[in-house]
Amino acid sequence: MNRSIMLIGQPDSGKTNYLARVWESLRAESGLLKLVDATDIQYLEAVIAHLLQGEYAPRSDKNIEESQQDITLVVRQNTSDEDVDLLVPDVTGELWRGAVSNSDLPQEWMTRLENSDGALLFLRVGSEENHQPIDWVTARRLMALVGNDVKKESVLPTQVLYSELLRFLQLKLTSSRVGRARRVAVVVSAWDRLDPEQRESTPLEYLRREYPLFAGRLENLDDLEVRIFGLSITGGDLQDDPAFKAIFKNGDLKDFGYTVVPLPDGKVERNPDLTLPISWLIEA
Amino acid sequence: MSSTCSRAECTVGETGICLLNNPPESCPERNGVTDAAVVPAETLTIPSLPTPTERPRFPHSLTMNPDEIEPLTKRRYHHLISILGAPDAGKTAIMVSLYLLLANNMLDGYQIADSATMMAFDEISRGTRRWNKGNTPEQMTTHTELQDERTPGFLHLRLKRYSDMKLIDLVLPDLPGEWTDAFVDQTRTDRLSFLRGSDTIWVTLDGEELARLRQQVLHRTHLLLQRIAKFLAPTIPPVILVISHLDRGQPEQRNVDSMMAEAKKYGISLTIISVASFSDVKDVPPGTGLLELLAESLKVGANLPVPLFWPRLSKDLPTRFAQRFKTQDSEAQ
Repeated sequence: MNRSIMLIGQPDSGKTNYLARVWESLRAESGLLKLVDATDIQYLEAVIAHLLQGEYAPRSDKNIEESQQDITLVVRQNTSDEDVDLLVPDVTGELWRGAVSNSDLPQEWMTRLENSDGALLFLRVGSEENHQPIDWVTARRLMALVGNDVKKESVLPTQVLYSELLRFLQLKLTSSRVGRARRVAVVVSAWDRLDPEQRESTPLEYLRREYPLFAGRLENLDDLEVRIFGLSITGGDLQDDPAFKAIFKNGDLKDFGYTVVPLPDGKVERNPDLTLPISWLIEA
Repeated sequence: MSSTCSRAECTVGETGICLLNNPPESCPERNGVTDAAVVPAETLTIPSLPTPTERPRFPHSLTMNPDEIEPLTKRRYHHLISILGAPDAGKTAIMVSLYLLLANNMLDGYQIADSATMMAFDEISRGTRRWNKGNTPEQMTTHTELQDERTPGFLHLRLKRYSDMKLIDLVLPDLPGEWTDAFVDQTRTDRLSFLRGSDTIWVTLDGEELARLRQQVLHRTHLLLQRIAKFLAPTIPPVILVISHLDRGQPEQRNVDSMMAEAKKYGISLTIISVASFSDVKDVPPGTGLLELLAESLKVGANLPVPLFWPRLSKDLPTRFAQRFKTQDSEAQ
């Protein structure tokens, strides 16, 4: 049985670094999922090499680009005896942005999307690619004060882009089994970049605050099953926090990072298992 | 098998016709018989460029024509709100303001739940992101232009109303003001048959122009009301006169009275609501009046249970405007 999960998100949304971090969790069998088999791991190794040195994988690393390919991982949930083949195509974020701008996708990727029954949709806190334009209706005074970046006038607002990606998933994901819901795990990555108060809110509350249009879409879907996770692959900022970086380099990767899972009482739990979003997507 | 020719300009090899009109078999310029398969590539007609591979496309989320809207309406009740008004009377501005307030969670009591025409909304609201050296741009939204000048372009919004957690679908045609002018001046109704299916009709009016050119604007509005009544009688959907630029002042009461009286004369149920889609003053927040406009518009069809829309059902006049639209059109054919 070949089931496929797509990693989707705009450029710099955290897909690649997540994949590398999850690779280590699977290898170490430290989460709900465990690895049964992996054939070609060159790409994953190229990315994780950066993490192990206390750096995030850069977006334009030649070694990574050359070894970029679909990753086939055979995994099994700890509670199940069924092996699941995961085809995880890692696609550049530009492809997805182009898909929204042009309403099309190369045949190869369209086919893969149609053969997928789940997707991880990544959105990174504080990414420079996030675009939240102000306008004369909702932020007139601010606009009069600071103006707008003329070059970015025509850039698609991030929440419109993600709402469109969600629409594509609604249209194209295919249930792998009769009666099985198609699932989308929305992953708000770089959760550690939020201020302490915001880190205690749920990922949905974050989306409602920052991207109300996208949050509204997610909350009112009736044809996809959606769960929203927060996630930090290292639990701190390797880029702008030298003290944390020193601790990280001196520690063990498996001890860093968490998934933010909303609890029924409205609070959140930080779970050290970074495979939770994938595990939820493939659970029987 | 074909002959070739020593003259470069002769195409006897491909066409069988000799440039000198000689029989090809006996032409003194012939090079002999050659196998077409071994003719040097450069002597053959250059093949046209290969057709680029078409990428598979996603269904668009731009404005929709009536045929595209119809499948959406089969599952849920959709409120069709038709919008008429002269060019630059603020038709598009109202829709953009509504969309932007919802998209930024600034419309009290409502959440945006979906839009099948999201890229269209983004496109038409782009003007609101235009920097104009600290001043409000002259034109907030682009002038509506349709791809097909005979078919209206519809916008779609799905809202969640927090008071009862109900999902509400709105369908709003984004029409050029010239269509309203043609309706008034030339009684051109062929493109406006969707009006029959309206739950509500908004007639937009530039409040600033009403103050400045009072008699002229009143005259045109009276005419438009008259046309609506004539076209849609005997069953005219409720009409809401939406007066824009509330931030520049309230309309004079005598003007309000005049339009109410005119509507009454034609049997139109008229409500007048002033709005500020955008605002230049602190006291009048942008979007003022839109909540009232929404609430008034949603009164029609509010309690209809079955999510059917535009079905071709029976010859009996249905009780819903949307059904009537299709039925009457079918009968007219």
